[in-house]
Amino acid sequence: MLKKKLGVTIGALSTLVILSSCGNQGAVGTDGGDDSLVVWSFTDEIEDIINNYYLEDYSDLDYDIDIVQFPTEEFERILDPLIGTGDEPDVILMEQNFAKKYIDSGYLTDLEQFEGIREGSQSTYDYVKEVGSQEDGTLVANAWQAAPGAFFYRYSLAEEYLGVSEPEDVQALISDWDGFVDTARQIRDASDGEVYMIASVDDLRFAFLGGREQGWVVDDELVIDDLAYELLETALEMNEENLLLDAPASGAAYFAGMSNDEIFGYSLPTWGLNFWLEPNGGEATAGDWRMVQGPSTYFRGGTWVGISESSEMKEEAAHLIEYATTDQDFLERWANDTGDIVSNEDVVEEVRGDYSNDFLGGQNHYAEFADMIDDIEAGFVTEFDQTINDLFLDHALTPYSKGEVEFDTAIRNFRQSVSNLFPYIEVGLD
Amino acid sequence: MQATTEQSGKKRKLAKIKNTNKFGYWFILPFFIVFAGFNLYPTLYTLYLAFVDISGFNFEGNFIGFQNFSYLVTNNLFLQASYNTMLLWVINFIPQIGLALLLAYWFTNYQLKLRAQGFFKSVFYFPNIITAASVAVIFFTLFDYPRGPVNMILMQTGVLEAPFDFFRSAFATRSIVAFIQFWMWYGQTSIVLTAGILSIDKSLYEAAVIDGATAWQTFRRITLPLLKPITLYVLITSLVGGLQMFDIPRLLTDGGPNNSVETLMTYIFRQAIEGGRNVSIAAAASVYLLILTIILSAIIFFLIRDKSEREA
Amino acid sequence: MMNANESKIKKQRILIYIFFGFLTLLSILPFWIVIVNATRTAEQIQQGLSLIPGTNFMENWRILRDGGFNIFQGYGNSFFIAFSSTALSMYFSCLTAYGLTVYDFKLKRPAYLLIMFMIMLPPQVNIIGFYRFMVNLGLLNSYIPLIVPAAASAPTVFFMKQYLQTIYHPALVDSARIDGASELKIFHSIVLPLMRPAIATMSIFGFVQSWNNFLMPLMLINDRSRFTLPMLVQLLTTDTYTTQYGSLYLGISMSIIPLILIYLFLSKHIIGGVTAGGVKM
Repeated sequence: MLKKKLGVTIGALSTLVILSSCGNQGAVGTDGGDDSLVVWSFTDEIEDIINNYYLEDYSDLDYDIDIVQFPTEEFERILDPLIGTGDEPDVILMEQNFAKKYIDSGYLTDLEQFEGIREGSQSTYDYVKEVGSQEDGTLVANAWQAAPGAFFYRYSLAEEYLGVSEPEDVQALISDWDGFVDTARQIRDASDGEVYMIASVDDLRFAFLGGREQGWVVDDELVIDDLAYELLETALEMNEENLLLDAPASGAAYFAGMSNDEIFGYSLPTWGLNFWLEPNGGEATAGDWRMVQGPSTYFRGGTWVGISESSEMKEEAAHLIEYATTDQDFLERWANDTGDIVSNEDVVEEVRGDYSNDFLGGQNHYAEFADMIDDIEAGFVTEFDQTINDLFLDHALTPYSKGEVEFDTAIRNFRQSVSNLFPYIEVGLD
Repeated sequence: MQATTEQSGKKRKLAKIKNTNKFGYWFILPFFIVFAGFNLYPTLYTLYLAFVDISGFNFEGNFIGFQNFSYLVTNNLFLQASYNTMLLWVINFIPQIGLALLLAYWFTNYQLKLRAQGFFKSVFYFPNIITAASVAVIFFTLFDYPRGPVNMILMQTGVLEAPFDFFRSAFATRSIVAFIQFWMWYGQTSIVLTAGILSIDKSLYEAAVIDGATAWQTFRRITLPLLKPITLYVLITSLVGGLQMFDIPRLLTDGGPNNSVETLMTYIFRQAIEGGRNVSIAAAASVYLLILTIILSAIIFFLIRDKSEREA
Repeated sequence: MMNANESKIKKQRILIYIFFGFLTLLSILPFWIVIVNATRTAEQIQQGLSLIPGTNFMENWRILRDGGFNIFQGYGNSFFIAFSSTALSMYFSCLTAYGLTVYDFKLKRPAYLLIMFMIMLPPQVNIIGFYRFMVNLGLLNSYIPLIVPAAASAPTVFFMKQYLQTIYHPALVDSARIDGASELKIFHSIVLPLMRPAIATMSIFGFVQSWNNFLMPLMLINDRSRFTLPMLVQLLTTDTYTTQYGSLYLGISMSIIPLILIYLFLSKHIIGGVTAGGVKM
């Protein structure tokens, strides 16, 4: 009697709990039910693309698209545990810094099996496809965007402190890093220290590291490129001489410099113009910006899209990816609406001719960016980038550029920190 | 006749009560089922994971003996994390127990007869119930550089001329973490100690008063020695809690700068989640932590057992 | 002589009250600054400290919501987990305590010793195995691993048993037994109501503890709509809000206000619970 009653009570209680938690899950779980395509993203661009373009063109889809967005810093931590469990979202968006981790994981679907993507990606830039391919060359992720980096500067400040203002003249001054630092000194002296060349070491970091030929790790060995050493020295030199503001990257002071007259320029890629410079510069500095290549050829960021191997809606997912990354009509509209440099060579050639950007005083930055893409080398992209870039920033670049540690200590701390998180990587310590 | 019935009734009752004893198993069964599934098995599983080499997206691993354990004892970050965990605990516990004893002394001082004790106890305890994650973010914003409230106050009052970047300084960051722990726990400790003092036999104090002892003398000579067991209890519970410290260092600076507030738990979490996602190394570190905690628990266990068996 | 002593004590008392005042400020000021800043603009916050609320609450709220900080969902999720786990913990702890107090059986002592030993073992020490086990069971994103383990809470059982020992007497249940009531019915109708004071005390602690839990949900939940409150707080530290100080402070304020309210009403119980000892949050 007791046995039975107790059993019933326990059974009822646990059922209650399980039911209520499962009930919740059914409604909003990662699978999203049978008729919902789940898209995980770290950027709100995809929401724009899906809601304002894709669903306009394909309003008769018989399934929902469920977009879930996480902050970039949290994205990997939240996605990683799902990889390999079969509960992955259908469509996964990946940032350049961590794209390779998923691309090489073997848990993404071969995109070339879908005819539309296979053909559409013929005119996708090679570097974009290189990043999106597994080691064996299979394309598993594609992007709608190319992200060559450049240097954006303030026209009026150049005129006032450098005596020249047109892009070709400014480019001539800063075409290599020595020239860049000399120009920074000139600006500092002419402005009595009121104006800094750049706002943060991040304006150096990506321009240096994004131009490397080798990645952080080659054959399980840590590789510190000469450019990384040069970055450390340049950052220290510029910081000591008050040539940069040393604002925390992506912080209030960093963005404030886009609208006050404290910062001469920013090293930013294509998307930096639409997403950072224009909104933060606002009315105050609109039209006063110009773009040049700067001292290095690099690329920074970009969003790759892939389909999980476990997805039961691969066709539907491929349809979306085909549209977002290869549909020329869409890409052309997107390019014209946002100023974004798209990943499709044909579209870029089409758009570049008569582009004029008011925020850049009418400059045709599109054509300039387009020319830079050919020089981009994507060979340095590895699955370790997000983590090792952060470790380099935290253990070497930040403390060394602030004068907190000696050069050798910075490098040793960095090597050690890599070894701590990747014990199997040979980091070059005794 | 009547007597017999009564007697047999009593007998029947006794028999019945005796019979019910086996129901005890049914009453404690759910606890042990849940314990086995959600505690014992995961603990054994952790032990298993510590002897294999699972990392990255792998689900299976090879048996590698004690390699993870020997890796850890020579790994600088693990050693640093162990050191930090102890250091952070010590520099928060010493002022915490000191202030708590002082407060308990005042709360129980028969000469002072402080009023509104309930109110003050509530206020001192208050930070303890606030989500540690929120507390960490609060202190992160309060000590923000360059224009957080603390920097503003220090500059407005002339203590600092230029803003100070607290979270770039190992000393400042450790002090802030230790202060938060101290601030969240001194109220609780002082209440426990006050309760401990109040449970001391009153007659001891009466005798002391008759002998003309001052309040401070009775506190030092009578209260403190008798308070030893409960102080030990507070010390060990605090130490066990301190070994688990995670929320605050994680959300304040994520272990930085230069790993100065990396604790055992942030290390374990980092190994499991970041970089190469070295689950097995994380598991081995957990096993070390488990062993340490079991030793401490054993001490507490004997303390409580002695106490509750004396009472029983 | 007596008077001199009296005035010395009076002086001492005043100094102590001043010191208490300082500690009171220390307890309240950080939260007050946060709540006040939740009503000010980012520029005002950057310009200087104020202890008087501003007028930018609605704007901060708008920015916070637009950034995807779904606080009400967070309240709902945290409440659901905290409530369920507390209910489970209370019921099964009383059940276990009753079993260990009332009956005599062979394994009673080993069982009790095991429970006492587990009092101090925090759940985090086996988190890696726990986590992988839940992944293997497909319970990632489920609330089950956050709720069901509460049914085996050693400290609660210990507390309940201590309490039960002080109120239980065989005579309490004897007549019900003679009336033929089942053991479970006796527990439900007679013993459980008697344990209400202990349940009330432990419920508060269980609830607050579950509500504040950060590490477990952080590892187990990766579906944004199922995030708990501390996880939402963690999102506040990411880039989305770095320049929106007003809404950052508002987000923190909203995460702590429920607890402040609970405390305003229940602080007497809570302090009572701490005083009763054996409570470790």
